[in-house]
Amino acid sequence: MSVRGRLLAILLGGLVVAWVAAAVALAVKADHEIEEVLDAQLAQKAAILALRADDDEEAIDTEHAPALHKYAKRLSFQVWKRGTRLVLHSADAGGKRLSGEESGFSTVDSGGRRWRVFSLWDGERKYLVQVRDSLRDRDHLVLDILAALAWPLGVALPALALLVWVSVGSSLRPLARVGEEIARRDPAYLEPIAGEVPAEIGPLVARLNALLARVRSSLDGERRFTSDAAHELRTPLAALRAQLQVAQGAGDAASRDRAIANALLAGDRATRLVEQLLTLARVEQGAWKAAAAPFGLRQAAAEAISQRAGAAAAKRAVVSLEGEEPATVTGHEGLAVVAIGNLVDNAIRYGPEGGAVSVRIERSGAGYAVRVADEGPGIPASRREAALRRFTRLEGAAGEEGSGLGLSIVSRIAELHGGTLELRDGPGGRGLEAVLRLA
Amino acid sequence: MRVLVVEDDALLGDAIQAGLRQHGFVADWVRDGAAADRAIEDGAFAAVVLDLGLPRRSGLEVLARLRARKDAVPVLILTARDTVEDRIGGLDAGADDYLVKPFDMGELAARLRALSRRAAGSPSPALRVGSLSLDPATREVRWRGEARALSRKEFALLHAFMRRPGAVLTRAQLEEALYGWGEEVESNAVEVHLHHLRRKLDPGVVQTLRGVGYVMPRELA
Repeated sequence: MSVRGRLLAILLGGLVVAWVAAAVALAVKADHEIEEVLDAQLAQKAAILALRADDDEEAIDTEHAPALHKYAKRLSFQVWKRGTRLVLHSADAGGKRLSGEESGFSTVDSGGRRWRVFSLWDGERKYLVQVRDSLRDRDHLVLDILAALAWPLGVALPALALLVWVSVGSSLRPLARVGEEIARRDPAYLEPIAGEVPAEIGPLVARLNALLARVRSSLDGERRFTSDAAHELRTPLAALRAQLQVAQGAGDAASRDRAIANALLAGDRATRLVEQLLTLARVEQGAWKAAAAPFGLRQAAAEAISQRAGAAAAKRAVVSLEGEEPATVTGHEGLAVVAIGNLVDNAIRYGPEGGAVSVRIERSGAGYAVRVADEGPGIPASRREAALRRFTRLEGAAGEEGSGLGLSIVSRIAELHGGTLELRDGPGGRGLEAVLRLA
Repeated sequence: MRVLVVEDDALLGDAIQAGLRQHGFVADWVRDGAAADRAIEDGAFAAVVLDLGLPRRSGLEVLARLRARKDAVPVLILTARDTVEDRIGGLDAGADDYLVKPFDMGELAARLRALSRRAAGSPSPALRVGSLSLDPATREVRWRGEARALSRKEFALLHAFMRRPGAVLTRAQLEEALYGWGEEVESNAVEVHLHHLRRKLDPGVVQTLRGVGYVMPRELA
């Protein structure tokens, strides 16, 4: 039901109920007051007639009293001598006595109507005066009063309805405007809703704007990431193309072969970057969360290390895995393998030729920590936070071309598992140790 | 013509250096902003190829610093950033040209030749001194209307003179024009190549000023 409809029903219904209550109260009161006043009138008339009957019965006009007022002729009267002989009566009173002989008020049915009769004996009980008027006329009086009350209501109800209709409409116009504003929003246009709104919908608009701001910042992040990713791909592609052009223009076989080998390396780098981006996209999709289950961290580490056997052999790196427990944690085993694999990758890539890479699994609080240490140049404490950001490649990593995504992927996987990734000095202050904590 | 390549990516920097050498340039390559700063301050480069996303000092910062030093060396920005705002920002920061990765090696070489030509105040692609002409794009040299075949080093040497006819060039300046860093400079190489030039063209194209250097006369008949 619309707000307008509700307001109309409540206000108009309330008004009608209030009016009916007022009318009933008024009718009751008016009925009572009219009875008192008209009874008094009957009594007064009877008293006057009684006095005149006493003075001179012959002088009294037998036909009728003059109609001085429209209500006056309602009154009929009879004057009876000794209660038995009708000496005087009004035209409409007839010859039949109006009521019994007792003094006072009585209600009588006669001629199909109800009458109010007042009977009065004069002081010497010589004349009986009876005066009556119609109860139906009295009821008409009350109805006249009620009718007077009805017409203002007849005017007020439609006027009120119109007022409610218009004022509700104008009060709700800001709501309609906010609705139109929201309809104009789409992913490309997420500006906050501006302008004055009534206090009642202020909190709604404020929360909506807060939501818009969150959506915008999240979308901005996504867009920035997509744009960064595309730009990052341009460099290896540029290298690929340039190396191939060098190969085309090479004057001798040796420099041509060298350029082609470099082109292949550039292709590999572009491929690795794309793979890392796809991994990140899968991690972010969150679909894996439904598949979260307990798994052994040691097994995952062993899997990650065996996947890097080729890279390790190429650099004669010695990779060791320590930790006896299965180290069961809950999450996605495939992602854990990716995370540990990225850390081992970095350790091999940035470590020296023939260096040691140690992977240790140990208890840490309620969960487990995977520590991957290398003998490379390490990362200065001031640059460690930057190293976890996307597309940050640290200077000084001469000759090595990372995607700038590896650590940010590990960090994100840790975050999604409620864990952390920390970079610190390697054992003995040499190299880098990456500590991945999972619960 | 000697150019400096500033590019942090190993494979790309290597390719640019090799590609520019194939196009007859002497190309030096540095991999970070600070090294670029030092190299530009020291060396006499005809042009600089500048990447923007550099470690240690951004490309735009390098550009701002060299322009603040009133160094007029032509700078070509080579970057992955391709929005109009990026281009405007780069050009307004003092760059002379802007090329987006990936690019064509031939186009990069042509743009560098154009930059150097404009810096020398010459509207025509071919340099001309009297009846001697040299086209850096086609690498064609004509003496009195007749094409002459020159070796790469001879061509580079002649190019250095023709860009500044009438100016005295020292032996060290000529060696810089002939060799990149890390290339071994053969002793008396300048004299040997000059000897060949005089033989292939005319004995009068370059005059020796004993103890001072060498000069190409403005008027060559």
